[in-house]
Amino acid sequence: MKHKELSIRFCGIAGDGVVSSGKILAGTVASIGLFVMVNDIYSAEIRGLGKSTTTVRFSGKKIHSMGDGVDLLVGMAGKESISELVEVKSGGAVIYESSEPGELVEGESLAGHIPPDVRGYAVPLKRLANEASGSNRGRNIVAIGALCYMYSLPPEIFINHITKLFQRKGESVVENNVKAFRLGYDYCQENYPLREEFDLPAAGEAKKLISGNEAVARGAMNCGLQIYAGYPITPATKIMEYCAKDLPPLGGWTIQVEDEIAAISTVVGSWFAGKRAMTATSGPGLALMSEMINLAVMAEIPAVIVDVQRGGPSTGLPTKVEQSDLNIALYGGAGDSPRVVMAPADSEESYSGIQLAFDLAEKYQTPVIFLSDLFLGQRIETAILKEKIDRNRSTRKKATAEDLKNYVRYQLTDDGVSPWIVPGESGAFYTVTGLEHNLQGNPNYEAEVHQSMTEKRHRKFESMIQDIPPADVIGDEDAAIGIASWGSTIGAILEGMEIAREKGVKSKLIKSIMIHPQHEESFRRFFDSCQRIIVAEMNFQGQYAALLKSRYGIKPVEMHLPAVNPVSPKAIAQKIMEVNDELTQ
Amino acid sequence: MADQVLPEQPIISTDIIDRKWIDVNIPCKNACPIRTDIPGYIQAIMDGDYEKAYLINRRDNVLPSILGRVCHRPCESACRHGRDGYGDPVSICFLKRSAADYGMKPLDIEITPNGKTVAVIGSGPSGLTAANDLAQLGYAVTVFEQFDEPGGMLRYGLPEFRLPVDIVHQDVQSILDFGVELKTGIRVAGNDKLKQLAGEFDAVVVAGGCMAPKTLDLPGIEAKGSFYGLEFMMAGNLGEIDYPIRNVVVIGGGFTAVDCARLAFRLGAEKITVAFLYTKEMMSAGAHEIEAMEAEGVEFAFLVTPNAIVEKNGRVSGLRMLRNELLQGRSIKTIPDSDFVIDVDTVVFAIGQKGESDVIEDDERQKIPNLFLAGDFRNGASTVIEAAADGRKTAREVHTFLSGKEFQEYVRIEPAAGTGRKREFDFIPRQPMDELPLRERRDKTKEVELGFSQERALIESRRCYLCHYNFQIDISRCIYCMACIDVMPVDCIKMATNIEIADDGNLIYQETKEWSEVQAIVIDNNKCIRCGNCYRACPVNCITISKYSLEIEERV
Amino acid sequence: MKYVIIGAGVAGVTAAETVRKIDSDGEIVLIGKEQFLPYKRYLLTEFFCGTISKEQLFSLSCEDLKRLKITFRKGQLAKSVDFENKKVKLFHNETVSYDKLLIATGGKPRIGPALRSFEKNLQLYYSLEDILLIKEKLDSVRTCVVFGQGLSTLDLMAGLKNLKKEVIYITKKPRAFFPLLQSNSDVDVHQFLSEKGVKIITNDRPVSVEKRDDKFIVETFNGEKLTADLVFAWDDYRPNIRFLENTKIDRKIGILVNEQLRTSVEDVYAAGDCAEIYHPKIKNYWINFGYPNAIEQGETAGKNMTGLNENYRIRETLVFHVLGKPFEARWWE
Repeated sequence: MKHKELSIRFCGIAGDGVVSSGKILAGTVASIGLFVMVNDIYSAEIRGLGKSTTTVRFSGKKIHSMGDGVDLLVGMAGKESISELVEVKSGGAVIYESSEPGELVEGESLAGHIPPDVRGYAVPLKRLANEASGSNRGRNIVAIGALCYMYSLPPEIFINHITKLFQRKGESVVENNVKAFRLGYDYCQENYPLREEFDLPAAGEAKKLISGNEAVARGAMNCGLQIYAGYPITPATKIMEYCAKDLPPLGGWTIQVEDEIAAISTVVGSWFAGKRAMTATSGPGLALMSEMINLAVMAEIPAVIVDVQRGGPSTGLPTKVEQSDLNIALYGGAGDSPRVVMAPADSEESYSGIQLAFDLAEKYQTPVIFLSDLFLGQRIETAILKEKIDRNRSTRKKATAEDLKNYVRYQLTDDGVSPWIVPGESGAFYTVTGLEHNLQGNPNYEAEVHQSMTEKRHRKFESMIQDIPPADVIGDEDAAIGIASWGSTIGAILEGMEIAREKGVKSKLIKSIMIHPQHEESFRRFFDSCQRIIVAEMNFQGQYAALLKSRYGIKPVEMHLPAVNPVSPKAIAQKIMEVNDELTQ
Repeated sequence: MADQVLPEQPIISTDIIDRKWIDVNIPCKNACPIRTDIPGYIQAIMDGDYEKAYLINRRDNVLPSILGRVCHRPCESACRHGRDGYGDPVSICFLKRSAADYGMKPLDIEITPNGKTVAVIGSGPSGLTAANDLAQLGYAVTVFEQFDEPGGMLRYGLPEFRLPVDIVHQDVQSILDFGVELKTGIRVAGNDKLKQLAGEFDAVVVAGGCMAPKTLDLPGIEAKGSFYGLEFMMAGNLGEIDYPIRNVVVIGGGFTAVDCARLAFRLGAEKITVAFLYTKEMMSAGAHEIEAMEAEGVEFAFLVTPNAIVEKNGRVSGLRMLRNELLQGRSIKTIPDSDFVIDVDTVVFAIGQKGESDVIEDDERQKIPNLFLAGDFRNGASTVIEAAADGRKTAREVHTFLSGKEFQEYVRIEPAAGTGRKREFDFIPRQPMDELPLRERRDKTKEVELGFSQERALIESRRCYLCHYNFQIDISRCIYCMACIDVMPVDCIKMATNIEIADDGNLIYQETKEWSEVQAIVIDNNKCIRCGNCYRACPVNCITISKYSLEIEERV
Repeated sequence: MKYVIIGAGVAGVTAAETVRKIDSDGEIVLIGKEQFLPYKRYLLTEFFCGTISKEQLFSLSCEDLKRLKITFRKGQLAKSVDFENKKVKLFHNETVSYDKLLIATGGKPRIGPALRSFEKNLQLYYSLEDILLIKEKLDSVRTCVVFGQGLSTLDLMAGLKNLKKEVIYITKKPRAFFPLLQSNSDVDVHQFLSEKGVKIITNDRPVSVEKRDDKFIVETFNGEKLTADLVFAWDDYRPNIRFLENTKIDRKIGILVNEQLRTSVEDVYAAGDCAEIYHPKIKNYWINFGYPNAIEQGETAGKNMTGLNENYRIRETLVFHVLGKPFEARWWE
């Protein structure tokens, strides 16, 4: 059997080296130009012996999602891996530990649960690791050696990568790890000589691996982020970690403050002073930030808030994915409180999208909520980033000499955007308040003032259209079935559409990083061209569907997908088929 | 460094618990009838000190070159390295041979003659060992040997391709170097002869071995071509078989049977079958020898009982046998009507030996107080090492009898800073010994096993777990971090609860997986393979190592 | 009642099916060490020659296993049995307890001590894995050396000749000999093989098999030097019961059983190529090689495991075809 793509999951507990296995495998295949996506799932406990898995999916073709099921499960920890067996495809394989000291109780071993349509490979991971290095460390490398043989992958690429990876730890570490790899490889060769093949394309240029979170951080830093303020929260913490490491050398600041309210306050304050600032949080943090975001809307101060969504409500499911913060992002504030809401679909979009977020925020003096999610943020994928470092980037509508002659902060303009000077710039002063205000910024509660100011704050969103890209339409233009979705669900949909197409059913997808405002024209045109519309998203309420229904008056088939694990392409394909069946009846 | 514990002085213990620790935890030593300090000499080889390794062997088992070739290796079947899942036992025997090959040297022992004389009858393993021990204690020893050359079964009962004659001479000479007098060609037998000898010497040790075959009353047993094992061996060795042998069946399952079959191969036999009453598992010959025999093309017939020799003109032409049925308790019964005949020209009955009955009568023996029996003559046919061990036992009996002094065992416990082992050593495969190519094995004098090179001996020695090291966790310093449990190679470290010290000093505890119940983390030394993983992993240095050795001395 | 069957060959599978027919509730665990669903070993040569497909080899599908409620432990090796505590210990240190145990681990080519150090260079012809591996290499193979006794070698040589390979057969005996029935005495197998182009070397045996580049150099006891692309060599075909070493169960070459296929240990049965039984007619212990017997024994053992007391009826002969000629064999060696 020749595999066009492979999905390999490592499952273990603390100390098993699960995450580094994923990194080594992914790094190796990316180094020869394959496309890779890696998804780690940790236990919810902050510390302890909870189980974690990492799944690496790679192919010669671009990968959009983690796909359905895995070809190989590496059970570093036997008992914990049992529940992962359902994910193994029919005809797939399992590597299990066969040198665990002591007697395993019947039924508590991974081997005892392997279904008959799956091959089980007993590999003495611990024993071989000890043979290589004298300790249990390195059993993940043994497993990688084993799977390298199993799928006829060239061992040199792994050895090269391992050598590079461990070089700075010294010669003997490299030697031990290469030995561990070889022992795993040789063990499989000797004991399980029959093997499968991976359809290895000609070696291409090495690809970079990047997670959604890293892409956000890098994107922000490359377009002039000066101040990052945040309070750690799973799954957004990594963004802060990247900023903490890389921002200060660029001359910026990363501040860990006491809570999310302080974080957003710091961000709004920084922007008030004209500095590009950002915070990243997850649902519970966003809820705390609502009030301050409200202030930014009212005072027309930009802000960039990244929400790496996790399961909610409340503290919810810290390590599981959900797309259920759309409503709070769109509507979470007092009064008529418009804000920009964006949602990238992959790492590449996370990178370019966050830069657009900064540009829009600054240009239109409004908060932007950037909705990533746990899956998107944590997964690592091969991405082609058009990196350009421009730390002085600015889109501020500065006050001209003309404006300064009689400067008012909240001047009414056609596009709703007022010329803006920041404290420290000479020529004018103004008041900023959360109260409704007049042109100068002084509190004023007159009906006409409120009316005109409210209109002004909303007018910005209409004029913003010139700066936002039209939505992308992907798939068969003549398809009767149209799909709309957002965020990381897009990846699964792209693959689901591919599966359906292989079965002869055409479909198309509309996707836009902009949730609000949207390039409505392209959406209308798209919806008009479809006989049936499917809206798919990872939440119970159908938050995006509700938005689209009210905005475009459509009557879609809604997929409210159970939000704990990333969406399955198969489920999408199945829905497309179902809708197609209804259509053709 | 505050937490570094400096080695203390060795402890000399006569506590039964420490003695027991050795028996349970050094399985090779415990399995050795003569209690050779196996980890001790293997560690010496590890250190490259072959002389020390030889001297330990020379002290403990007297005949290292011989035993390094023909010992039946009870130690290896007990070796921890051979336990389920841990590969193959250490090649203890081959290493012993290496110690002799590379470290043999004349002994430099000061002997103070005590003026007493001892006669030893028989120069087999038990006689030689008794002579050695007594000579070292100061006795003037004279050894009487009935054949021309010393060695007894070592010389005449074992084929040269397993034990070359000069090797026997070497080890014998090492004993004669103590001033032991050897008189060959003298057969001492009969009540009167012995009584006379007992008068001339302060003590007499009869180590006459088991030279007489157990006989079988089988039709045709007298036909030409029918031999008893030892008879065949001697005739074969001396080239006294005067007809071409082609089809041979050897009856028996012991070392002699295997040796006879292999000798038959060298004598040119084309088809050789070892026929045994029981099954392969019940063969007492060593697995190693059986395998060498199989490699030489010898076949088996199990569960058969010889029934009659088919004669033709006074010569063996066939063997009639019956099939056996295994009964409960490993006994057998022949199956009625199951007889069959195989064509053979030679039948060898290697079914056991016994002491020669004419040496001394039981009743008479009782009457001579300074007469001692030793080895196989006392216990019936056994193995070289068992005979040697019994020779030593007898020597001590003689010494106690003549001097009134008893012997006392004690345990020396030395704190150690490490074992010198690495975990990687546990994965070295058992080193094979180079052997004579099959095609050259038709020569009966060519030794088959060629010995380890020094390099290979060193590699093999690293495989030894060095079980004489005792690993213990100091509970008062343990912080229950489980770092040791994470790295343990077998289930050798346990979380214990309900800990008790039994009357016999044994630690009794229950294993638990519940954190709340844990009272201590303990190392089960019986499962411990001394890999040192825990010692290295422990963050608080609460694991101590001490080396146990057994010594014996005259009680003062 | 929990039935554990070690060995997923014909005997083991038949026993499992038989048990299920009688006891619809009992738990059945079938342990097979190979990485495949249960398959019919006796069809391997046909698969080797390409006359049947791989799918036709399998005797139970995943659905069958589900329907019959058989827990199939695929690719799991039993490494020892603790008869005292009625537990089977698997390679990965898990123990499986049983109420009734059937050992049906079959036979397996054994490489004797003389050739053991060359094991890496020897090809076996025994499992589906072997065949699949041979098939991968087959195109580049012209000459094969075959050494071994017994009908499995004859079967192999027939297969190789069918595939138009050069075959050199080495036998310890003075003539190529196989345990065929008296009624075949009119056919001289030695001559028959020679006529079919098999080169036969008699009274000899290989003592070394070295790899040189892509070829193997075989040296024999008598000093003959042969070059081959593949060397098939095993000394004999033996019951696969090494995992019972150091246990109290009575064995000779195979596990000794009575007519009801009970072993010397209570609640433990043996069937198929690993069971040895006294045969009064030939006055010898006898391993009843071959699949019709495996089916028969599997059935008998299965029944008796559920508490019946059925005697095994010995099936005397089996007809098989070698290069288009029918042979009758009694399948003992």
